[in-house]
Amino acid sequence: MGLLSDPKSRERFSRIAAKYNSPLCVLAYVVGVVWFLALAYKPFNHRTYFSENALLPGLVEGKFRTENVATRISQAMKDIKDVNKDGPMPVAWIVNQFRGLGLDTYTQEYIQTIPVPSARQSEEQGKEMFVQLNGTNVYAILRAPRTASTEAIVLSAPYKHYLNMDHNNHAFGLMIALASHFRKSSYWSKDIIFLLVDYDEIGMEAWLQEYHYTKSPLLKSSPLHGRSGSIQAAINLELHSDQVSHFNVKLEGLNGLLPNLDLVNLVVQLCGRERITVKLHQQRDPFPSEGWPAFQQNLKTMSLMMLHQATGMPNGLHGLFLRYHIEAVTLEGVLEPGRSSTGFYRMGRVLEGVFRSLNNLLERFHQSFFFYLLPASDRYVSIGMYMPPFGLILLVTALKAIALYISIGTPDPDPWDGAENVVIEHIQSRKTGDGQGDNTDSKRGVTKIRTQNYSDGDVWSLVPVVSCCQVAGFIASISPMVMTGLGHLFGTRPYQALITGATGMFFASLFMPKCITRNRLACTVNTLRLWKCAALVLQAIILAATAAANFSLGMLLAVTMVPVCAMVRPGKLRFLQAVLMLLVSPLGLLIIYTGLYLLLTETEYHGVVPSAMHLCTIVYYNILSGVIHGYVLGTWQYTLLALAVFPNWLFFWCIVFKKRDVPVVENKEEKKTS
Amino acid sequence: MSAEPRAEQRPQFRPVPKALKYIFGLGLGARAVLMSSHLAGWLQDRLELASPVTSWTRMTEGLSLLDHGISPYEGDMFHETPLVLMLLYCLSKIWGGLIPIFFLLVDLVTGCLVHEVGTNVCRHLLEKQGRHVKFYSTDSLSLLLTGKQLNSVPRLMLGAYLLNPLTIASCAAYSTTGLHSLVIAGALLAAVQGNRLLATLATAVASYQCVYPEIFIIPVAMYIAQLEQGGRFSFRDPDSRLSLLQTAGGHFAWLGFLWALSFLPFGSMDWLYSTRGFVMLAPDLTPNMGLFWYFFTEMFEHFRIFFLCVFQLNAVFYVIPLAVKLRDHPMFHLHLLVGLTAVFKSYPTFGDAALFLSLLPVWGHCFKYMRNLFLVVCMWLYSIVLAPVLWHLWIYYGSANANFFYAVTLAYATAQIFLLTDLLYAFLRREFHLRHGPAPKEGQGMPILMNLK
Repeated sequence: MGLLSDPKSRERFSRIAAKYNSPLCVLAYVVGVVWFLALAYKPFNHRTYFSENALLPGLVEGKFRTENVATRISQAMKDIKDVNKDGPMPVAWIVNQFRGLGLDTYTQEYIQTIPVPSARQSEEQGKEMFVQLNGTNVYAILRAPRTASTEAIVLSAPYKHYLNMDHNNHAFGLMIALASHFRKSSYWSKDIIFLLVDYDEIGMEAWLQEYHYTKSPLLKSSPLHGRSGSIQAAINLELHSDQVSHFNVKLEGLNGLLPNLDLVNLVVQLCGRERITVKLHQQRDPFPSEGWPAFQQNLKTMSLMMLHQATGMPNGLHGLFLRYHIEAVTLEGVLEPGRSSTGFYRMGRVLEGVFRSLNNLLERFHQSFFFYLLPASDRYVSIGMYMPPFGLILLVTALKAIALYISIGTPDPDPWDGAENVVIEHIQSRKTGDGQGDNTDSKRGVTKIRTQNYSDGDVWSLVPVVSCCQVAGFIASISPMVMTGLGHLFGTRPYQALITGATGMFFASLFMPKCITRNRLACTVNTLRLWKCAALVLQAIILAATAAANFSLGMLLAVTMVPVCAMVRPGKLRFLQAVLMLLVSPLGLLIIYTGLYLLLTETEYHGVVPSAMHLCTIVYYNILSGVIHGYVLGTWQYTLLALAVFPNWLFFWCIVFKKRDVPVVENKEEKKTS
Repeated sequence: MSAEPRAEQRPQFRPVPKALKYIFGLGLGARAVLMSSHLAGWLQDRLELASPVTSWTRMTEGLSLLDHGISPYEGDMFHETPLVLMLLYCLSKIWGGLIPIFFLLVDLVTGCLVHEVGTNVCRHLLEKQGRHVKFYSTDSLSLLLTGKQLNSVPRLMLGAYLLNPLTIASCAAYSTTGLHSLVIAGALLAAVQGNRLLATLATAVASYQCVYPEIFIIPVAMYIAQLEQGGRFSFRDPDSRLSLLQTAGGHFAWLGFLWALSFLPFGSMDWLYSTRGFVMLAPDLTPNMGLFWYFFTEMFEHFRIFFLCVFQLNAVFYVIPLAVKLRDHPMFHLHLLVGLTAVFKSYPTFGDAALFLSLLPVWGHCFKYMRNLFLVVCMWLYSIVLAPVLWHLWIYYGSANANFFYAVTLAYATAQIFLLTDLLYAFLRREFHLRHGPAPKEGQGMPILMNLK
């Protein structure tokens, strides 16, 4: 309480905060960023460890021997695929495979409506206006011989990857092989659900929603006829070939959720035992693990993880489990040419080990970390380590806000806007035009004071500005759907209409500063200080709340927005400020980070123009998937950007373009004498 | 209440109606829109807006139990008072659509009451200033209140109540917190009017409904005694004591009457344990914005009674030191108590704090002495935004844990306590400056630092 109640230390604090404000801000920002980047370096992060003792991965003895089944089934499925090229999933055949093993096998049908008008069907009838997808999930339950189906573990696989239309027949083969192996064992104390999902994410969502009795208006599905207990963990399997050189472990789930670190450790540990290389985001763990190249590699892995996490979109089916508080990871088996590879035998042994360890669990995963970043598969940065640098970056905002708050009501030692400090002569005639009653005095006998105004900022002027920005944000949040509806009427292609809706409001609102001009909303320097102070406080709140929910998004926003927003001030170098502000606008940030992602992942460089074109396409698809996933899967990234980040940014944008008005002090005594 | 201050007040109503119309229109419009949107269902289960006492979900449970002829107080679900239950039961029987209208009306009436409280307290302040001005330092003329200065206060209060997002959300959630605010605002209004019969009835209704306003009777009794005795008031004076006792007696008589009235529908006093007992014993430790739940879940069971006493005493105890310190300012004391109970009660919601916030404009003349306003505003905003986020992370995603959410509730409580202590400090400091001039020669203003917390 010393600082709060003792006026002396308080005064000292505020004096320091005001006097050394800029150096302190720079220092906090630089230290924050450097500290954060340093976390990727080995001495600054920690080695992963098992926190949950019940897993006992060391006690698992691999007995998997049915790899020939995997080969046979995956070949058979490939044959079927070759016959009916892009046909639906061969449900009956899959059901037969599971039934052949004696498992309880069920199917689930679903229809997903995507709220985008379909170009094809709209010509026929207004009734079937939206795109509809239907599919069938197949799942089989291996009942645990030792308990009464109160808990379950899931092994899932998508039927095919709809992004690259690649069939996942190898994963299904391995799944059947594992099922036939697991079937013979008597030690299972948890049911094992084998799930083959049609239309990857949507099918998964349909199954999970039905399993947990949650409903969404856009997704209709038939009820599940067979059930098991509460799902403890899930492994999702994607195999690109029957021989793999490494497993790519995918963690990032819906809205930036991550699985418990123990599960990740478990997978990494067991892969290591079977000598299968593990990669994160296709990035190999550096060897040797210290030194500059290793740091670069770790930083790259960590950045890729953050960029993925920030999108809030799951990069595998596991991501949807996380929302239901089920820990899940995706194992993607990739064959990299020129590397030694392993077949189904070792893959099967890894999965067997994982499932037997999960079988040992006595309670849900709760020990280890849920908030972490991985610079390498065996190193982690926990929430306690990455929050302080983030706090330092936010401290810039806080310090700036405090300094501005202190400066309100004091004369300005450093006028924000020297050039603008010229009296605009017609201000009084304009001011009477806006119909406010108390302006009668300002017609005559007005004393214009050319020096700084000492009065406090006008708190009420915040109300129209903030509400205008929020309204703009609200419009931006609903406009994609409104625009697709409108576009449907005019025959625009739905995706174009959607993009127009998503970005249109952004471009339209760039003109907002024009609407809050001097004669609508007069501002003294103190009012502008108050505005910026409020904008900074709001920004800090938004960033802190974002970082709590999805750290990577919060961090990426903070790293770029904080310095620019802390620097902007009305007037000076308006063009430069505008460029900087545009760069840190939601759209600008999307382009920057997409570019960064491409820079980190793409190896080929085709020249400036094709790269720029490529970047634009990727950004286009990112916006599209951001909006559509918001409706279909319930990601909130687009809504957050539209409802919180964008209005806040718009507020700063208005401050940049707001001309500081020379205070008009109505002096009644002056009037009397005149 | 002489005619003179009335005449001073009259002109303030002339420019008001337009602004009032806007406030009413906007406030009620926002509530109606939110009630009819799909967010209403989500809001009803927000623990920040609906405590176990005020939750609409529990109210529907009570209504349906009543419908089946079972007393809702026999179970462990329902904790709202019988009179409110019967009122809502009648309304729902007449027409289900009356319920939202009822909640809108409740907020509307509360707004009007708050407005009236503002008008009356401002008048009271001016009158008091008129009485005391001879004791004030001649230098502190600039600190004196003027009628013009206080002109906009009632409107501000109305706006602060009706346009506060917290009350809007709480109304759209059908939380009976609105009803609690109504009775408390009624108690404040009746108190400032100084009519003993009405004031005791209003405090009795308020304490019947929300338990903690029981302590309001102390400043109310002091206020009435001071009105009656004038300058002769003192705790030692037998007449003053008699007056205090009369007020307290009136309060408890009314309370007894209300209890008797509540006895009628069920024919038993079970409800007393389910409502008052529930609030006092705090058996439901579902997380809320208060300070009880975390502490009592963490604690060994055999300490429970002891700490229950400590926590409940903490909620009500401040009335005594404040009564001593603010002997001459019972109205300010009363308003502080509204804030204090909103922090320390066992099942607080945002709506409780919002009522206190809407009372603040009346003390706007003290704001310039407040030291932590910026900090309080920031903390408040942070906790309001972060509370749902961390709750979601804890309960729905299971990735955060109880400590995250508890940290936010702590910040929320701390912000309110800062606000209260700061307001108290600012008030006392203004009094000091009134007596000693705005810039006393020696010891610039710290000697009256209160050791409240």
